[in-house]
Amino acid sequence: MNAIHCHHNTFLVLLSYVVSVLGSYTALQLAIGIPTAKSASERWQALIGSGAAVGGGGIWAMHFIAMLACQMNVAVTYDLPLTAASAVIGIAACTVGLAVASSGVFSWGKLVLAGVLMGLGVAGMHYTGMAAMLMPAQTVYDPNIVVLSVVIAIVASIAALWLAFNLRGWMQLLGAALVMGVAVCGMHYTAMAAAGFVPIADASAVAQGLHGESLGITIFIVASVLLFGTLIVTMMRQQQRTEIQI
Amino acid sequence: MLKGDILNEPYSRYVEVQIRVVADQKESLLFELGQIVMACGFSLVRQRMAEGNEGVSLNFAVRGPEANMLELEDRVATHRRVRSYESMMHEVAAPAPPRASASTPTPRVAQHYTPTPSYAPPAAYPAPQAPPQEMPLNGRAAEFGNRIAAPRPSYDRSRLETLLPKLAADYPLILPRLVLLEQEIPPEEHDSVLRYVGTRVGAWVYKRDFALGARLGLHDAVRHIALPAVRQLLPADLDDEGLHIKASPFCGNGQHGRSCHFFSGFFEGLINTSRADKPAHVEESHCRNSGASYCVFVFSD
Repeated sequence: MNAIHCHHNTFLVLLSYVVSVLGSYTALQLAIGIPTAKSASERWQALIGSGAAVGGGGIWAMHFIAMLACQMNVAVTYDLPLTAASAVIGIAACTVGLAVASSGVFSWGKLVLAGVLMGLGVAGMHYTGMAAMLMPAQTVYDPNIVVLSVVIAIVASIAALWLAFNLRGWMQLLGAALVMGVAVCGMHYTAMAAAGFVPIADASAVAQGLHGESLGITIFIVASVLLFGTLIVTMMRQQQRTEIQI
Repeated sequence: MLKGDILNEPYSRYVEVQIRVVADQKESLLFELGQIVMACGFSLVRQRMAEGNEGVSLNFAVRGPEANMLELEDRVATHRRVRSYESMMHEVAAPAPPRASASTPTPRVAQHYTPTPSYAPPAAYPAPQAPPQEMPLNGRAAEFGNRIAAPRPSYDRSRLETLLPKLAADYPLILPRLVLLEQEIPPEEHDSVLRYVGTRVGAWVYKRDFALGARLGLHDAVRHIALPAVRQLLPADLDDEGLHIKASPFCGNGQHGRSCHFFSGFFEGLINTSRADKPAHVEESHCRNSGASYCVFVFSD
C-alpha cells in the first residue's frame, strides 16, 4: 500500500502561528498578575489563567489548526477523550513551567527547568493529539526527528521564558510571544515531518471520533475567544496601569 | 568601584543665563522650556511669569556649563511657542571646585527676535552661597509603596501628597516640577524630601511598567529596570562603574555636594519594590554638582 501524504494549507499554517503568538501574548498579559499577587490564591489564579492561555490557546488551538492545515486523502476524526487530555497536558505543563520560572529570584537553573517542563508539555500535547487521530492508517515516527522536535520545543521555550521573565519592556511581551510561537510551531511542524502514515484496512474507528468539521468550529471558537480575550485583557491592563496609585 | 578620572577631567566654565521669552499662552510653557533647559544640562534657578498686553512673559534664570550655551539658546529661541527671546549671560563659579574670574555680565540678545525694551535684567546677581556641609545620604527605605515605609521627611507631608499625583499625571515630564520643589524646600531637607519623593515615584513606575517578570538579581535589575526607567526622564548610561546621568537638573543649583537625591530614591523605589526582603542601597558616588563630569550612582545589596 502507498503511504498517505500530508499537504499543508499555507493559510492555515500561518494562522496556526498567529494563534500561538496570540495565546502567548495573552498569557503574558495575564502573567502580570503573578508577581503582583497579594496572596497565594491570587498567584495561582494568575498562573492558571496564564497557563490556560498559552497551553490551551497558544499550543492546543495551534496544534489543531495545524492539523486542519494538514490535508490528507483519507478521512480523519479525533478521539474526544484523548483530544481533551492533550489540552490538559498542555495547560498543566505550561502552568507548572510558569510557576517555576516566576518563583523567587530569577536564575538559570529555574529557567532551564521551566523550559524543559514547558517544552515537554508542548511535545506531550502534540503527540497525545496525534494519538487522538482516528483514520484508516497507522502513524509511524522517525525517532531522530522526534527527538529533534522535543529539543526544539525545549530550547525555544527556554528562550521565550528568558525573554518573558528576565527582560522588561516591549521586547519582553512581543519578543517572548513571537519566540513562543516559534517554539510551538517549530516543534509541531518538525514532529509532523517525523510522522509517516501507513494505510491499514480497518476503518471502523473513524466513525467514532470527532469530525474535522466539528473540530474546525471548535478551533474557530477558541481562536475567536483568544482574539477577543487578548483585546479585553490588553484593555484591562491599560486601565489597571492608569489606576495604580503613586 | 570609583574611578578617579571623572573628578580629574577639566571643568567646564559655568554660566548663569537670564532668559526672557514672550509667548501667546502660558499653559505648559515653563514645563516645555524646563525640559529643554534640563536636556541641555542646565538647572533652573528661578523663574517669574507675567501676563500683559504683549502676551505671556516668562523670565527665568538657568545655570550650567558654558559649552552647552549655544544649544540651549538655539532650542529655546526656536521653540514653537516662543515669539521673542532675549538672554544675558554671566559666568559663575563652577559648583566645585570653585573657579574664579567671574566676569561682567555680557548681554546676549538674539538679533532675529524682537527685543522688549521694558526688560531690565537685575543689576547684580546674588553672590553664590557658601557651600553647606555635605550631607550624609539618608537611610534607605525598608519598604516601598504599601509595604515599604520610606524615610519620612519633615517637609509638610500633605504638600508632598498633593504633589505626587501631579507627578504621576505629568510623568515622564516631571523634572521641572521637581526642580521647583527643590527650590521650595530648605537645603538641609533636600536629601530626605527628594529621596522620599524619588522612592515613591520609583515604586509607582515599577508597578506600572516593570511588574511583569521574575524578581531579578541586582545587576539585572539595574540593567533591565533602573536604566530604561531613568531613560524615560533623561539620557543615562550604564557601565561597570555604575549608572551615569550626564545632565541631572539638580546640579548647578548654587549648593555644594551631592545633589541628586531624587534619583537615588527613584532607583531604590524601582529596584526594591520587587525585592523588599533584600533591599538594595543606592549611593551617588560622583555628582556633577561636586565637579564631576557626570553623576554616577552605584548599587549595593
